[in-house]
Amino acid sequence: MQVNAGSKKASKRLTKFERKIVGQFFLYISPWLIGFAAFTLVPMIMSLIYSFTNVVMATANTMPLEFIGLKNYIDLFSRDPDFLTSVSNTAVMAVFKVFFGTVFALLIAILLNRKMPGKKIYRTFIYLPAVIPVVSVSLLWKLIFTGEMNIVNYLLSLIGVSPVNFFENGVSAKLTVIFVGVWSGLGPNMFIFLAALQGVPQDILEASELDGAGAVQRFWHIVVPTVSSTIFFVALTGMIGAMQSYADVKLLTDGGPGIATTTMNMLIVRNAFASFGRKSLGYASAQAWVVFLIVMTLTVITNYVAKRRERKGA
Amino acid sequence: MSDKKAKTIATVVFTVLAVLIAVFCALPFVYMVLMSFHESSNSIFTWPPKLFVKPRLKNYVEAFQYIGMGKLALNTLILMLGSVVIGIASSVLVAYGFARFQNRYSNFFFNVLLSTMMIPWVVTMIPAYAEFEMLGWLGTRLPLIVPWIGGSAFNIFLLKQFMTAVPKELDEAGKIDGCNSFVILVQIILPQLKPALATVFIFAFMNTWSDYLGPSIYLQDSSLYTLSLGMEGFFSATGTANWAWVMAAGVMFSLPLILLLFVCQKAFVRGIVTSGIK
Repeated sequence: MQVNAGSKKASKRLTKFERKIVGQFFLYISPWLIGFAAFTLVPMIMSLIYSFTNVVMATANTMPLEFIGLKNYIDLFSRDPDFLTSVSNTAVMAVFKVFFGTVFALLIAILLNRKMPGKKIYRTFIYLPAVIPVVSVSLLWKLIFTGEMNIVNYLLSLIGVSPVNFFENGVSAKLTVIFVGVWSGLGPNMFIFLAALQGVPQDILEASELDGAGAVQRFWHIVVPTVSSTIFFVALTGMIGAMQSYADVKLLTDGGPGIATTTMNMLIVRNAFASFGRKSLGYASAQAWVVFLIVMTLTVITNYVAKRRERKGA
Repeated sequence: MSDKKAKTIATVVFTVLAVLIAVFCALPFVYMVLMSFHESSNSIFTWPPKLFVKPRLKNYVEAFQYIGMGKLALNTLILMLGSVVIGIASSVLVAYGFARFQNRYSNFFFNVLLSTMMIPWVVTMIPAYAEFEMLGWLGTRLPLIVPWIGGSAFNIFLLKQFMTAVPKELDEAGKIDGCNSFVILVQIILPQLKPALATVFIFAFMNTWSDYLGPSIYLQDSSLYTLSLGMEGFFSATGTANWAWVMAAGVMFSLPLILLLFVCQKAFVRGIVTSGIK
């Protein structure tokens, strides 16, 4: 930074001292530069090129590629109901997962921010689902929700609900995915909120309590404004992740029943390795760039919110 | 006096609520443990369901042997060694470059680094697969190890934050003693970074231990399968043949990470909170 400011009026040429700094800088970041070029930049450029071709995985490395213009992108939106379904599946599951995941995490954080015996242990237990490997998580919930003779249906039968076959019905399969997603994401979000809650002015909170403000009033007028940018941040980064759901859903429902829980990324991986028809590596690449655009839009909004947060010093 | 009483009641109510939430979060895992003790799938699928049975601990031995978890764990550890050692060493070097050699180019590259975190993995996954095929790496572990030479953007970011907080006076003292920049990094800065390094190690360990996506795409040879792939493969091959084994294997697979959480909660929280304020 200091160098930057000093060099404003100086010529474009580097001083000897600066040159040494720059040299060492590039030396130290060279592992990343190599990794970035080889495993991010080149694949990204290739992906963009592939998206305008009808190449399949088996012949991806044979030149020349046959270009078909925007056909993949046009097909995507006009001739592929499966893709549009996968977009809406992903969005629906993401919105509900993120909404409940954020709200519950905030409420739990507020609860565990109070003085109470043993709160560290409760926090650890709430974080526990987040460390269980995704394969274990999905096998566990598969058992819990599988068939009709499962523990959930037994508990439901106690309150008079007739058994549901959760994975046979699009709506209940989606609900299952959302439920498991919320369960495993509570802990990390809770810790982010707990950190943000340290910024809530305790003196104002106490003063308002003396003035007779109720818990709900205090929540809306003091707590929420302080952590509002964190709420946005948690929700948006959650959306960025959830729009890219793959392993958790694939392992739990495998996209079924039908394609009711198939996410965009699941469809893309399936298409990428298909060797026939309209579905090809090129086609999957075009789909991947649609995901890219969605995620970038969310990222731009997140950065904007994060900048505003920095300015506020929260 | 009554005010104090009201406060005590509130504390009791809120504590009970907190306990209930904690139990709700941990209960599914407890259920997994309970089901792993069952005789067979038949004794799991009964109506009403039986939660507690005489524990059949042999399930653990049988699941371990039948799924071949020893070999799978070894494969997972080999990948982990590659990604953790290479990934963290690179991340430390790169973070050092960004933290201590600021110049007119560093902001630009740092922004590029941060933006790579936002690139959806599907965009690079497909061409990377073709790239690995061209290099003849498919069917080997290399696609899951070599890309770590670039470090991980998250680790670089986290380590850079902590390095910037180390006072520069320490570097100066080293320079006066005639140390070059690498010696300063290893002997002066790294010892100050133990908490950050613990966080980075724990997350790297957790991520490679649990990873499903990478291995499922790049590992085709079943002799290289990791725990994630092996367990999933066992389940889809046998279906619901023996849920008690599946649950026992799931418990064994999860236990190392759960123990890690209980022992190093602080390091976990540091990682989450730092990522939350990026």
